[in-house]
Amino acid sequence: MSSTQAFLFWATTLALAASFFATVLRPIFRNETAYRWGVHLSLAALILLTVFGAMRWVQTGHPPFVTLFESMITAVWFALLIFHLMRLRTTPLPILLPLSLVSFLMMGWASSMPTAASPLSEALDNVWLFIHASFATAGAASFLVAASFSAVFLLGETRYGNLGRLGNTLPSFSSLGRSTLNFLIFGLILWGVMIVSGSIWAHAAWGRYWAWDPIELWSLISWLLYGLVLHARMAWKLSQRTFCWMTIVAALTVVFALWGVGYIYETIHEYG
Amino acid sequence: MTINLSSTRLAFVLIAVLVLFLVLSAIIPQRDISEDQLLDWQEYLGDNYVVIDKLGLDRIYFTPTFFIVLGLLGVNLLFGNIKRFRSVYQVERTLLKTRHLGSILFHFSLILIMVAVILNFLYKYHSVLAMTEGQTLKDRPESYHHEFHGPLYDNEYGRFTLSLTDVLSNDDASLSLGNVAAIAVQSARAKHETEVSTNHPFELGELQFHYGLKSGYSPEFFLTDSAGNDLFRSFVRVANRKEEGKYVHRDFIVVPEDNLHLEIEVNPDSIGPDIAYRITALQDSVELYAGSIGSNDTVGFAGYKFTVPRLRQWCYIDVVKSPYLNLVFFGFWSALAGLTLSFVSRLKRAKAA
Repeated sequence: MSSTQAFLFWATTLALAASFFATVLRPIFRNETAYRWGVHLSLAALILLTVFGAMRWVQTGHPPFVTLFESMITAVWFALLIFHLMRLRTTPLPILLPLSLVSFLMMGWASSMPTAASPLSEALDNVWLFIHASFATAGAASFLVAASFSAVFLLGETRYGNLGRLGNTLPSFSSLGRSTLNFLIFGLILWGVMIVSGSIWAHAAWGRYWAWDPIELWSLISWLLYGLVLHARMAWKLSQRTFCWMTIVAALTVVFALWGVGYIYETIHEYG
Repeated sequence: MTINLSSTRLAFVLIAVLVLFLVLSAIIPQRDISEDQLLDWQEYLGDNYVVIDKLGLDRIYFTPTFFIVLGLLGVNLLFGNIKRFRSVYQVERTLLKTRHLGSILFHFSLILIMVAVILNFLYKYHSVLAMTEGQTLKDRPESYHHEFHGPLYDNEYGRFTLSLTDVLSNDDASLSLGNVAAIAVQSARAKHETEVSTNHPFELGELQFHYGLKSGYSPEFFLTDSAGNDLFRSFVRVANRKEEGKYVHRDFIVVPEDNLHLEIEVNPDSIGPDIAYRITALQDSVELYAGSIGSNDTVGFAGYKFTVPRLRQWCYIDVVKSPYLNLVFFGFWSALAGLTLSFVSRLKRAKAA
């Protein structure tokens, strides 16, 4: 990573940390100015990350989602992009609180990964890589946004929320539930495209469309878990609270499938 | 207690059981998938491994319970959707509304995927040829390093003769492992000289030839005794595996008549034009020699002479036939189209409300 890229990376990380702290001030002090600063800082993080990604793309000749480090920062980029696109239609959005925290933590995690940029190897030089990896990161971002809506809902239900700290800044609980569900289904589609494109690519590359590789397996598990959440919601008319907890647990499996599996298993998805 | 085969609650239970199976298979190494880890588990658990073996937890995807769960899921999908859409039709007299179409397409595509995957499993053929440069193999059972075919695959041989002409790398000078195999395939009709690499298979009728997942060094080892008799002369496909995050190229040869065991490992620092091997020679478990040998070098120990005259590379070539794969992929895409249609319709309804 060049010094300019390192600067952009750390500036993004700091902007996200500052955005989180500014956003926290809103329910504590009912301070709208601090919240606006939080939004501006997250926008700054998005711009910095866009420049960072573009520089890396130019340097390596491929979009920045090939290594674990790259896929993680691209997922953060997608999550921030989703937030700011939504903000164009709906203000104020309460999910910045959990989203900026998760994005900051992911940037921190990414900093512990190998950051070396390299050209594509023969095995990865395929159009399916771009479909597979971009949908993986976008899907993960969508699930993280769904989990953020759930987190806000659960936070609003706590004593903290009942005291009115969050109450007057939150949209209605039904609206939060609807948004969670929308992003869950959207993530399910993106994650599904990721699995399908991966299997088509695997067939072209190795002659097998499904190899029970740990990352394949955990991706399928998280996809099915979301299916389970949807069926539980329909079959038992789940309380919003249970639904939100299930969404958060399912999001953890997505994070594990994409970035955690490599710490435990040997996998053919050796990209970083 | 009666079980309603079309209920959403049954769907929940079946998906939950399926997830449980998958999680177990992710934790416990599975036969034919992660053999190395399975051996570690067997060693670690000792006699307790019998519990895993008895329950079939090391071969979950082949247990009757797994098939029963999948079968029930298929039945639940079919009955559940017929019932659901019949009741919708009775009320609305149409299923052509976007939200119904999306859901119908998604759920029936899942049934299609299950049927196509089963058909593909029954009729598929996947075999692996382990070949060293310069080697020619005929399509015969004994040629294959590993062979799998579905229960209904009509086994036939003699379809081709395959020669591995060369394993090329992007940078031949470095002798780094290659990633492109130059092959010649002789079928009954014609001879095809072509190259296969990851992402670029060669197709011969219904068969596909893929560059396999494993490749490595294949030095020729030449061992003679004190009288100059050949004890061993062959290209050895040195196994290539990852240990502690690094690739090692290590193998052994055995000369049973002399109780001689030779451990060979490619010196990782020497990969390049001056490639060298670390060797350890044991006779009756007593170390006779330990040292390094380069290409074209000869070392002597206890009356034996050991030479490495030539170096080649080896790779796997996978021969594959997947007759119902396009149906599987069609099912995948139509399921996603259905899900997308449902989602778009949901957003439209929310906007209208």
